[in-house]
Amino acid sequence: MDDSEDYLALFFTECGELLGDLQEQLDRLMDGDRDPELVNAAFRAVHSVKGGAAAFGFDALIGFAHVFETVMDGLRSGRLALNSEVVNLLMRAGDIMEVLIEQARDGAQVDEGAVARVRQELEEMTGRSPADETDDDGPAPSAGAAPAPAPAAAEPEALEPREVVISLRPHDDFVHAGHDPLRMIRAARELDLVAAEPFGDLPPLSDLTPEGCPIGWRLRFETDRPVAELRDFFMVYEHIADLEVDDPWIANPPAAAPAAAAPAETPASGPALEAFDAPPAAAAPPAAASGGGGGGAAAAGGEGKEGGRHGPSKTLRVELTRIDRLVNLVGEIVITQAVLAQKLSETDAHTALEVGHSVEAMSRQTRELQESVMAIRAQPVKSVFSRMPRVVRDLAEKLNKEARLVLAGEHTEVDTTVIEELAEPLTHMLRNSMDHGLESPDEREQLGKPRTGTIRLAAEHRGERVIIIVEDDGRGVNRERVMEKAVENGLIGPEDNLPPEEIDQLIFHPGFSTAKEISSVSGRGVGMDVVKKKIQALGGRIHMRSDPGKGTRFQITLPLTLAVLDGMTVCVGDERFILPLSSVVEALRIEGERVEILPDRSQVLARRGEYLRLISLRDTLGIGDAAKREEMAIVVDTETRGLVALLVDELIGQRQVVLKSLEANFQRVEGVSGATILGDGRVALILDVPSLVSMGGLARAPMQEMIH
Amino acid sequence: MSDMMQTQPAANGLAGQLGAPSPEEAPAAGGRLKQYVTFLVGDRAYGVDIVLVREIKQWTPTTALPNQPHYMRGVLNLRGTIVPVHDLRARFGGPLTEATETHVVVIVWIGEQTVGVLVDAVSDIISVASDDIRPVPPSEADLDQSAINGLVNAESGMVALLDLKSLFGAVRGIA
Repeated sequence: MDDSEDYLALFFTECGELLGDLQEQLDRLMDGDRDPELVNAAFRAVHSVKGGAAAFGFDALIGFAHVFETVMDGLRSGRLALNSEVVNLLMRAGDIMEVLIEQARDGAQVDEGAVARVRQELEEMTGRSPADETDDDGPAPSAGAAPAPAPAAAEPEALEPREVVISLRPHDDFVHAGHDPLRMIRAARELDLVAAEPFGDLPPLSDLTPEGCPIGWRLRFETDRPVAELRDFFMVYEHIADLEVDDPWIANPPAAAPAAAAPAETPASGPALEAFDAPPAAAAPPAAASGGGGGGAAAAGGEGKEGGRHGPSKTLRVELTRIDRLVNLVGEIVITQAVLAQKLSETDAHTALEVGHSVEAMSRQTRELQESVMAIRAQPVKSVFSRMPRVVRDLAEKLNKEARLVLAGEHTEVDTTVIEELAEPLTHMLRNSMDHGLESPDEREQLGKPRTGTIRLAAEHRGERVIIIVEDDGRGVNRERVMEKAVENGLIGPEDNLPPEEIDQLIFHPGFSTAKEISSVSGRGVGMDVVKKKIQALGGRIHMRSDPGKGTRFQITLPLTLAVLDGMTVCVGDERFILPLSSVVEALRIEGERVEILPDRSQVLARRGEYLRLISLRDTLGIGDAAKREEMAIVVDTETRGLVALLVDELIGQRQVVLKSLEANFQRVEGVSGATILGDGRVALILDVPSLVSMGGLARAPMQEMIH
Repeated sequence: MSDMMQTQPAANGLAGQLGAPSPEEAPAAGGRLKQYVTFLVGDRAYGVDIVLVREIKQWTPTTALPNQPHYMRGVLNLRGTIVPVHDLRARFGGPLTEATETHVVVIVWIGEQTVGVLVDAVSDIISVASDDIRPVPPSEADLDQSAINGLVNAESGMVALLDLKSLFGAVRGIA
């Protein structure tokens, strides 16, 4: 039981990946790329979903995937023409498939109407050119030429027990597509399979490939099940194996079955399965059928070769907890190594020199080890980005807006924990852009903008951080409305005169939604504050810049990993603190630098012609009255408020630190992003520069550092 | 401070008893028996359910956190994890404990979190029947009342049983 649950989880994970691939291929097709391999790859993705779904009996998904796959098959064989209209349909079909997968996984609600619509469109596509249905898999039965009246629809629930023999000859990519003959045969047992006889020749051992399946099976059923049931079971294998069916009921149906009265149900199915559907007269004599099958096998072999598999990069699925254990262990090694180095520096010079080289080498290796381990956890953001086009399409439909999502930097790699947590805030932000940002097409036209709005979702590495940008070319933040709302909520007084940038930031307050009407899309008070919280929980920050009439730009800054950080150690009083190196601009000795005092008694530091706000870490962090030296100023980048200078007593140096959470056993502390353990075993706090600065800012004059 | 010498054996004894067949299970006259670790702050004895005590550690200087209540003494490194330490004396309105090497940090579990409590010394392990736990007499100033689950009359005098969650778990709310 557990086993099958594991498989189920694996299936859904795989579905996620397959849908991501599908999306990518369809995107490229949408862009006009007509590489046949794209269609092939998309076909494989749909087929694999279908195969998995069949193994677990997700009927709705199987049925839809089957129709989808038939269209894809038609496209890859050139029977159906590929144009942008078709790609559009395929994209919607991909969306529906994703919905159905969600339904299979969490029992999510499904808009049956939408499923049926898309399904019908897909069926119409294949129905449009039934005469071309002949497949290169082999000569089509004569009945394949026209939608055959399917006896399946009219047949009774249970038939007389009979013997049905189905030969299944896997194509080369059978195993590659995720099918497992053993599982298939086991599953077939449920359908009264009584014997499975292999046929075909095993090649010599030296030619045997683990991925190939050189033999086929003759599956003998003794069953009273309706034809349709067997057909449904084998539908999965239709494009991936040659199937021959010998069912006496098809060959010689009871007179009672009013075959002709049945409506054509699945004119789209491939040739082999049409044997199920074909009226008795059309059932090929066994000899001819097996001849056709042989030809099919040859053709399929050729196709398999020229189709050329995308050499997938070799991957290994490892449970995340195992990697975490490794990451933690490496973290401990880094600390121990630092302890060793420190201890060594305290011993006599001679020994230090001798051992020093080894320690240095070890330190290099440790660092390398750490990087490799961290790289295991890294994943391209693509896996979350690829879900977003669907979000935008769905919303565009719901909101009657036209929008185009442009993705950039999908290959940027981020820690997998970060990736998992990103989907929700990103979806939220896209909703926000679609709902509040973009104007309706008519409105845009009046404003002289293109009817279709553009939303850009981009990721890039910047030092030790990842920047994610969500940008739209909509109307920007309605500042008047935000002010009104903020006054209404008592966030600010009516007389408060905020600079525009600060007004914009108000939208990050809890319960803040400026949508005039609560829509089902966004607004209802769950908004940007949730996004901000989520991002902060990941050790990141979010910043928004709005240009009225031109658009809004959200910038999320995230740490590359949640485990290590390059830091600068500084000393204030008896305490040591770590400043993330990524935010440190430079360190200045305060003497000789000019410190000016403003009328409100706050201070600024003159630095190459500009003035920087001075913030005393001692006061901000409430450190006692140990000898007040404050001789160094560390200029840091706050990302949102430009540069500021932090006053510290002493600069100790640079080092890599292992991030430890304060929240695990305590809570979030303002101004601190985490802690680390120093070489001597003591804990040092890692400072969060932007929140530190806002603490100082909020405290105004009394908290400002005074230098006399 | 000869109490200090007792803490190590007490800690070892703890480990041994934790592994032993649980005394709680044994039905006893006067209700179920439960074991409590008791420790001292000044003359006052406090008790904590032994199941919640993870270990007992000698005081080492902590790293202060900014803008915390005064009884929050900062954090320490417990074999790689960061653990907050609260000063029990200060938590009950007393002055900050002038911690020295003879002071003890009792590491306890509060829900899923591991938290340290700074006390003067660990004194004993006592078995208490649930019927022997007396309620705290009501009073006007109920601020700290909720922090005490009940009172027990042990051989050495009265022991106040702590409700760790309401004492230190509540800190979570402050941000």
